[in-house]
Amino acid sequence: MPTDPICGMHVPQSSDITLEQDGQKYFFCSTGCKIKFQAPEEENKKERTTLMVAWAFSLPVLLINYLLAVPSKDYIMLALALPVQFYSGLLFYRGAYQALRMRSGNMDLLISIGTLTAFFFSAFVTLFPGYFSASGVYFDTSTFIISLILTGNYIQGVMELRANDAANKLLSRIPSHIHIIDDKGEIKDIEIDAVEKGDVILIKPGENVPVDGNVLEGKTEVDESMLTGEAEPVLKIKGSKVISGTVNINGAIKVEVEGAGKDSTLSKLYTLIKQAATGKLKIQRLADTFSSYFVPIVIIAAIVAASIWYVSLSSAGSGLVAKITVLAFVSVIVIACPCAIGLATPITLLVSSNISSSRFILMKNMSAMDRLSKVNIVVFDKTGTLTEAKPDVNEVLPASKVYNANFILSYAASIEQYSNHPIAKAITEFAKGKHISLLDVTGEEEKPGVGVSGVIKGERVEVRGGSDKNRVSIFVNGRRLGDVTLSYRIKESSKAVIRKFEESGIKTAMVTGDKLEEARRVGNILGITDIHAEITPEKKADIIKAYQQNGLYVMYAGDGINDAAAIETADFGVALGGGSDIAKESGDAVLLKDDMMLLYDIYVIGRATISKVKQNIGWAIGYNAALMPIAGGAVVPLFGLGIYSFLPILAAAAMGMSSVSVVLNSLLLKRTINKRLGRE
Amino acid sequence: MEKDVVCGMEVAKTSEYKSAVKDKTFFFCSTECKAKFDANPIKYAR
Repeated sequence: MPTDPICGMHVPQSSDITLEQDGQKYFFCSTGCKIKFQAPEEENKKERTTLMVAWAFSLPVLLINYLLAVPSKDYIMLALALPVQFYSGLLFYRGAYQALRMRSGNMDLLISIGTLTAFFFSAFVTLFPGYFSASGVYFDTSTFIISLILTGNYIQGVMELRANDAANKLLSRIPSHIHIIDDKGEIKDIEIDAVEKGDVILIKPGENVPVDGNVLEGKTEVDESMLTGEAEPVLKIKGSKVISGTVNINGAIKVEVEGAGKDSTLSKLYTLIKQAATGKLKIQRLADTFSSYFVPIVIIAAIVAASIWYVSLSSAGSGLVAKITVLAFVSVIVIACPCAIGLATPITLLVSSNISSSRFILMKNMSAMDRLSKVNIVVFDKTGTLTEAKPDVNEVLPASKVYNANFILSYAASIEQYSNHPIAKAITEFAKGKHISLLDVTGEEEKPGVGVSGVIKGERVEVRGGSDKNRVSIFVNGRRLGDVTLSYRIKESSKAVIRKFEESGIKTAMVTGDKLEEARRVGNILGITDIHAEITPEKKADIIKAYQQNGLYVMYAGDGINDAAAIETADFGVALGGGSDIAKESGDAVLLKDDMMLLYDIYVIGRATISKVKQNIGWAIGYNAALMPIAGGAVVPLFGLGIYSFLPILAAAAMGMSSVSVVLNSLLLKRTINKRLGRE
Repeated sequence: MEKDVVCGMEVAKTSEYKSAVKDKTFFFCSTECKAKFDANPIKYAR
């Protein structure tokens, strides 16, 4: 059965209060929850108004009840209680009605039954004073329950808005208006929603980039740090891609729109962060089962408690029969609201997902958190993950002493300058660094997977790769002059993260398509002994399965398309993303920033999140279980029947506070994680 | 009700998408979830 993403209640599949958003269907227990889901800020403002009305009338009720001794005070209180009960309390009846219509229960139903019982009993006593002898009115109870629960809801709403901060901040980076350039070349300002793919827009210096697109004209530097964590501005010229949410620093550019609105990278990120919080955890099943039986059980328990009091007090001939029976019923109903249990998981996941995104980690699959918390081995891809994605030239090796290394390099670099291959770029840059001037080339030709060729000074020059991916050979008229060897620089953060995992007792391993020799070289530097070399992409997944069969929980970190199967197979797969395709990447999490230490952050966040969820569920269930007997009358032997004058109000306060404390505890997750990682 | 161990949704025991591992039967909400499970049962079954 689906659960309401706002209150966590179970909703029958047949419910017609649903919302389809970004390809996902959400079910709600009431329209109130749906509105809250769609526009939390507005709902929060509305809640504040009803809350103020509630307190404005319920405080005078309390004062009159305990301090004023006027003859008609019951009538005054009845008048004051009316707006609280039927204006501020209105949303509870709406929710209760919707639940009843679907033949299910929700917290609104419990609150409605509880407060209406107290209100109508008191109204009856006021209007027909002779009927129940010695029974007072309980308008203070009914109004206070409503006020306190609304207060709890309001605080909870404010804190949830705070928890949503990171996601909302993302969206606020999109400007509301943009400058579109029409067919005649005129510039007009239009609303962002009206922009379509293929439109041409102008982005001025200092403005945020509103869409994903390609630069048609102009030159500028763009600050992409909010998406990639890289502080260095990125140069954008004709043909460069710009990403929504980044900042155009110093030049005006014309951009052809590729993705706007919900198709923009920023909006996709926002959706992913929000969706992450609706993920289901294994342990939540316990809480779900608990709350689905809850409402009927509570109503039965309240009737049982009230009946016991009724029977025992009537047989004792007590004059308090009506009072205690009603108040016991109200107390049990009000205290038992399961909203804290429903909240425990989603609010923690939301906070966790936001913490992750502020650390440049995009959590895409919160259901994988369970498995993440058990990870005890981390398997790394080598190239592009532990090492940089682009190689550096190691050395130039002439085939015989006759040839000069710089001469070979100048031929190789001259040919390679026309290729975009990472090896070609490495060789060209290496030659430029040595101030070797490049020669004129004619008839250059690139054969993918083989190499590049061309004619220099009438001679045919070829640069070809072989079976060794880290070596290319240079041929002149078919004769080999020599080789250039390359290697991939190991990232500084790789060393740090492996040391960190080792300290935490987590094993590490490496899989790579490269030769064993190169893999061992990297392994030796990093301290990885468990090495699988010369592995095809398909076989990478098999290696992970083998670890799993040995009882290990595997986190896998890889950078490319050839890692997709391994990322999917692992218990927790991490893709090293960056750029505009982050939303498309496979994996349970994507690193937005090129920093391997984030893998350790993910591990810590996973463990801390799961333990926080367990804590919250434990609290919420324990709290409900402990307070129900008290509301039913378990403390009467200690404090006497007089306690029932306060129990319903205490119940309402405790109930409101239980939700607030769960949310508060979740917000503490940030501190726990920062403390454990020892840095902001 | 049974839980789809891949996506976390609850599914009926009458669901046509299911797989057996040893003595236990797992139920799924869709072919996608079943395919993911069958590709690597140990990940989801343990």
